[in-house]
Amino acid sequence: MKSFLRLGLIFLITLIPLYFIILVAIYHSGTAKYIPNVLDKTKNDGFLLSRLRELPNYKNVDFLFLGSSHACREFDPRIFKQYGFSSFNLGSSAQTPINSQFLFTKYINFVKPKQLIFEVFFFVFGNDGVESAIDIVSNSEIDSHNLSMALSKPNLKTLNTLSFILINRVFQPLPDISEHNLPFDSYISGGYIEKTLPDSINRKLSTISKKRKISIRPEQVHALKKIIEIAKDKNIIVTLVAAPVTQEFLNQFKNYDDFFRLISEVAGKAGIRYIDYNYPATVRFDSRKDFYDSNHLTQKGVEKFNRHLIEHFLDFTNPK
Amino acid sequence: MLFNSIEFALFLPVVFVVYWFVTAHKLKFQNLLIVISSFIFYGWWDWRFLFLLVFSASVDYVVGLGLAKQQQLKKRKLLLLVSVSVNLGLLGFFKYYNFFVESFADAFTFMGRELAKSSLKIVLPVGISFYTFQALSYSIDVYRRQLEPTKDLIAYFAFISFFPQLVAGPIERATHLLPHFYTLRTFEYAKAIDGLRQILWGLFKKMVIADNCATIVNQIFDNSVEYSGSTLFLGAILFAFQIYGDFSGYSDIAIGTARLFGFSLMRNFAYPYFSRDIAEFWRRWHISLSTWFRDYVYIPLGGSQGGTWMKVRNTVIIFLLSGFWHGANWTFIAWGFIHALYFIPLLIFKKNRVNTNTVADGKSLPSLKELAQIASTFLLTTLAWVFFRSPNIYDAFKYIGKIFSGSILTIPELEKKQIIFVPFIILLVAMEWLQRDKQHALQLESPRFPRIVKWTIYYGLVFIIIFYAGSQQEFIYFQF
Repeated sequence: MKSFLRLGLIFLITLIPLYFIILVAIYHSGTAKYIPNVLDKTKNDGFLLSRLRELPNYKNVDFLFLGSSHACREFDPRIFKQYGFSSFNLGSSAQTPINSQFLFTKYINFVKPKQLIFEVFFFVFGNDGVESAIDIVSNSEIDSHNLSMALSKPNLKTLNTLSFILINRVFQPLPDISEHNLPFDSYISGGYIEKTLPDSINRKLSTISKKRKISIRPEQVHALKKIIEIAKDKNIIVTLVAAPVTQEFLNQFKNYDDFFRLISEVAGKAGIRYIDYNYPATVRFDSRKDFYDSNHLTQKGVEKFNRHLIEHFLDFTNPK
Repeated sequence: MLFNSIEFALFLPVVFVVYWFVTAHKLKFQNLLIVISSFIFYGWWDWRFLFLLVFSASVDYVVGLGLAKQQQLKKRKLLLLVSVSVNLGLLGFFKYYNFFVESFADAFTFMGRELAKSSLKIVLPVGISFYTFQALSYSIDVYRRQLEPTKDLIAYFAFISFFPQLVAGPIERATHLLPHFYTLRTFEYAKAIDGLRQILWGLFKKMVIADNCATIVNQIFDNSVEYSGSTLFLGAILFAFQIYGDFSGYSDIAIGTARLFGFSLMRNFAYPYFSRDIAEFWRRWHISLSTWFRDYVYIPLGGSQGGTWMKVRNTVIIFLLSGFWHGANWTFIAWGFIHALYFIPLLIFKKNRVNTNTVADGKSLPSLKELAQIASTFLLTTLAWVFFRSPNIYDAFKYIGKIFSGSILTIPELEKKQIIFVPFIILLVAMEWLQRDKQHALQLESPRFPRIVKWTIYYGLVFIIIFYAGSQQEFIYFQF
């Protein structure tokens, strides 16, 4: 038994330095792209680095947006500004309620929004939040908040990424990194990403041929409730908004009704509004003209969506 | 609790330390610790199903004691009937209720009458098919007087609920595993080290091979209409590796874990994809289930006694039952039936026991004939897997039809980054080929493998798992 334990211990102890040596080698050789479990998302198309850098300039805003890519690509602060509202978009790629809760808790006392628009995209309710956690960890300084989020659901990908980013930060501190606009994606001040896609580009509207079931993780619903609770404690008005997706995309799912009912129930119990642009269709969107893929709006679609939403808010606050 | 989870990575060392340092000197304590840790392991999914496990096991325990006292054949048969009815009744309710109700209603609809389907929302308890079969083996062996019924309740529950093999086998026979619980286990260095190796190999198969294959396989099977024949063919091959990596990986971890605690579980896989014909494949794939059906169904039906047609009938029954055991879907029955069709010609021409030795024994490479036999057997099993994986028979036929279309000659439509793990499939095949005469591929014995080579392999595999493991998926066989 003694030699068994001794050998086991030697193996584990040597494994740790070897692991970090390999990570350093991966960093210097630039081979991380060939290793699926070392995901460095710094400077990716979600522009989270730029967003978090800009955040200190936004205090006491009228609206704070949270949610997945549907939030950061579909709530345009420039349109809200036209109506006299200040806003900041803290949405990010694949952000699930669990990740939103982390961001909200971390920045709420700083941004101090009057209203929170929480975008509810059914897809992310079935995700574990790992992808977004990696995005957040990759684009912010490692602190106790990040560590607790990454370690709250330990997973090889998040642990590797966390270790890799620690090494990354040693050789390249975060302030030395800068993001640049991509061919079709531009970062707009206020946390928004504008997509400019030429008409010649082939738009992929439908990717899945069989009807699927929307899966919902209880922990994501719990996180949503928690966000509402935190916001209410701070007297922040919360509105849940489901941004529009193409009918073709929606038709691929069997049970959108269940999702709608669930969110309606959460909103009803909390006494907040839930506006769903997919159920029932409040305003018509054209799959070909208003979307650049199966579920993201073009800038023209965003204009239509945002103006309708703001007018709805105005109607609600100043009824005729 | 999944074997490939952080929870299990913490659970296992704790149980190991308590087992060998606290309970090592008293058999009762060792067994009690196994029962407690097994209940924690199983209850991690849903503690409510523990009651089902306890109920099912208690019935067999009482039946066993009753059989020991009873000498009258009629009453003994009645007791056995109680055990069989309870076990198969629970299995039937939780696993097959909706299938029967829906199939019955569908049959009426087919005949022109509509019947309302009163299906229930039944949650399938994890591993029910495995532990009920294990419990049944106890009652049947006691009934056959091949085993003395135990009075030791703790040892009996430890046998039924033994956590390494509780939820996905190997399905142990009471005659083999139960006696392990009657004697104090002592720590054996070589056994424990080899157990760790087997766990490592199992984790590699599950986390790197199966979980990576799963992502692509799901994508291809869910969108089969949109893909070319060549992509569908690749999807079927990857599913063959997924299910092998998943299930044999689980078995390796189970057997390896049991060895850490001083137990020797039966072998469940013996390099099935190196089989030269279907009969050999079935001697190497899910051995614990095949032999269970052989011992408790095939032989009582008459087995190989009697004429050719009797043998054919019994073989078809076994394959259909085996398919049905996997799940309540016609696809599994079709899968079993296809294997029966593959098997019958070998049986009729008495070729089913031709390849009983290790392939290319003593040689490093197979002959051309052996290679052709291995490839054709693999191809046949791969086509049958399409039925196993498809949601219904219609989709399976469509899938196979497209494989045999002109688009088989196109380049598969997959991105490079999706198939970055394919070299590891080659590593799996190479390692298993080199070690095909061993119990598992990582059974590295000195002096053939010096310590430095062994440790390099261990480190290599650990880092491959750390950097290339796919998204965590449940073990496929948990649903069975």
